[in-house]
Amino acid sequence: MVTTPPEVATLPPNSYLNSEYGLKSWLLTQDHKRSALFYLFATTFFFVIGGVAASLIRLELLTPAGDLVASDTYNKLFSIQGIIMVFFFLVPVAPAVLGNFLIPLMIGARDVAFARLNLFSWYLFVTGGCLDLYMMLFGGVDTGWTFTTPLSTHYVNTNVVAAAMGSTIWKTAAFAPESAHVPYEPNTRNQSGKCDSYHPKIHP
Amino acid sequence: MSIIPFLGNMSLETIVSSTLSPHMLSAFAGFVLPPGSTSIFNPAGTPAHSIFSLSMLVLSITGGVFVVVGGLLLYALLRYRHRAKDPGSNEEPQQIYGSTQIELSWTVIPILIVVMLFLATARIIFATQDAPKPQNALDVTVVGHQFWWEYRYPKYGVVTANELHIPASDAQTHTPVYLSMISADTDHSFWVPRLAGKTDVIPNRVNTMWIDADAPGLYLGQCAQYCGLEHAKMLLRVYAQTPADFAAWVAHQQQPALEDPSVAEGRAVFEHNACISCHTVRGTVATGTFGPDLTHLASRDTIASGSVPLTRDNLHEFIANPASFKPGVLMPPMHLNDHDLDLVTDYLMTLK
Repeated sequence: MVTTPPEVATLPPNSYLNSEYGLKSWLLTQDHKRSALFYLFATTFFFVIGGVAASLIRLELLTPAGDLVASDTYNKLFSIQGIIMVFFFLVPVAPAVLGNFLIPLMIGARDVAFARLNLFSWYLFVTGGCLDLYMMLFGGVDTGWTFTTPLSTHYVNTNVVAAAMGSTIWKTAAFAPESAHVPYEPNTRNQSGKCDSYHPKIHP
Repeated sequence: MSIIPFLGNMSLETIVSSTLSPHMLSAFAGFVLPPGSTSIFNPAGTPAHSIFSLSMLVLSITGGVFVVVGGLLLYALLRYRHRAKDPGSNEEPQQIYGSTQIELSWTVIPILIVVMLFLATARIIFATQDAPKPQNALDVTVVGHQFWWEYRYPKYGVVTANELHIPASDAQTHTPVYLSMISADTDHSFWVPRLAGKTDVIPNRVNTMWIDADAPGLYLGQCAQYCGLEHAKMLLRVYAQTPADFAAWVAHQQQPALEDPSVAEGRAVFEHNACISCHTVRGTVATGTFGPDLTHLASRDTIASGSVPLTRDNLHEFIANPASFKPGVLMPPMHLNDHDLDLVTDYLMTLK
């Protein structure tokens, strides 16, 4: 007579219950909540930069004369404000911070579908952000956040390439997988066994 | 054919005046805002009047939506707040799992509002674009440059810069001016808010618009598409004149440059320097087209695209260091000695 061992519930080898607290465990984490915190810190950092630029613009506009910053600096300020706020705050903040943290919990999944890809997205975000920080520190850009041609290609001599690369690396390479895995979760990663009608309606 | 079928041939003005009087609001705006303002609430041309009426229609509808939504929200917040004395205040409230009636109403009503706003806007756009062009309408070619405006009157052979002169309409005659707009470099946008909506000026493309002015006067505007370093000082000045004044202005602009023997020295300095490779002074060797036409420079009120009034001192400083008024101006400092600088300034000041 063949005896089969009874089935027991097993935890995945790595989860938030047994993860460590060192730097390495954070930087290589596959925990969606840790990824969400990474995004929270990074977007807050960029939000502050964008906010400083916005404050300088408003201070300059206190009087009609250009008495706080020169014309070229003013143009760079509103370009930096637009680029940082659009690409590094507004676009990622809701889906990457709240989406990463809350949606797996809301639908009862153990984690996001592609935890490594999720983390990789954040590293691309940081890479793009570093390029834009480099752009700001070494001369700025004065095209506005839309990089309108032919102004950006023929008529300015600022760091257009770095600025556009930084924004595009994050926008296309990272945001695409980041947003792609979230909608799959409600159907494919539901671990709770709850009836579907109890789930919050999610439209990422 | 009417674009809004269910509104028939009712004009927007009629619709608006049933809720708000645009004339009253217009008069109010005219009273509050200083003359020469750039407010769209102080319209002075046919397209601007249409835009103003449309704005009032949109504002009244969206205002109504705001009051209804805000009112309901406020009512619900106050009426259904948590009150300990209410029976069952600590229990879960009654759960409602959908109501077709309510969902239909909050879907259909907003769609109808949006469709109405869309059709009203489309009607204004098409009515303005398709307005029949009178046979004798004046054509002006507008060229946007970094960072100034060039105006050419092909019918009259007149070229000028930064100050557009047009004949004003009066009760008897409607004199729209048709603008063909091109760009010499990057995107710009022509916007004189009291006369018409904005129209982008785009390289390798001709955009058109028409403007008219109800009354003679100066109408101010501003390049409305960020075009580079000195975009902020790419100002627009439209001078609407009575037909007689306009005819006199054209006749004067058609003359070649005035020759004043007392400034012959200054003219010689001008013609022997790089000035002539960018500027035209008709009747002389100066035939450049990169910068503004200077044939009648001194007949203008301003220099540097409306940045500063035309005075001898300002012109003197501008020639010595153009970037002093407009950092980013494409004219380089001319590095003339003081003597030559004075002579050239005196010469240019005679180009009435």
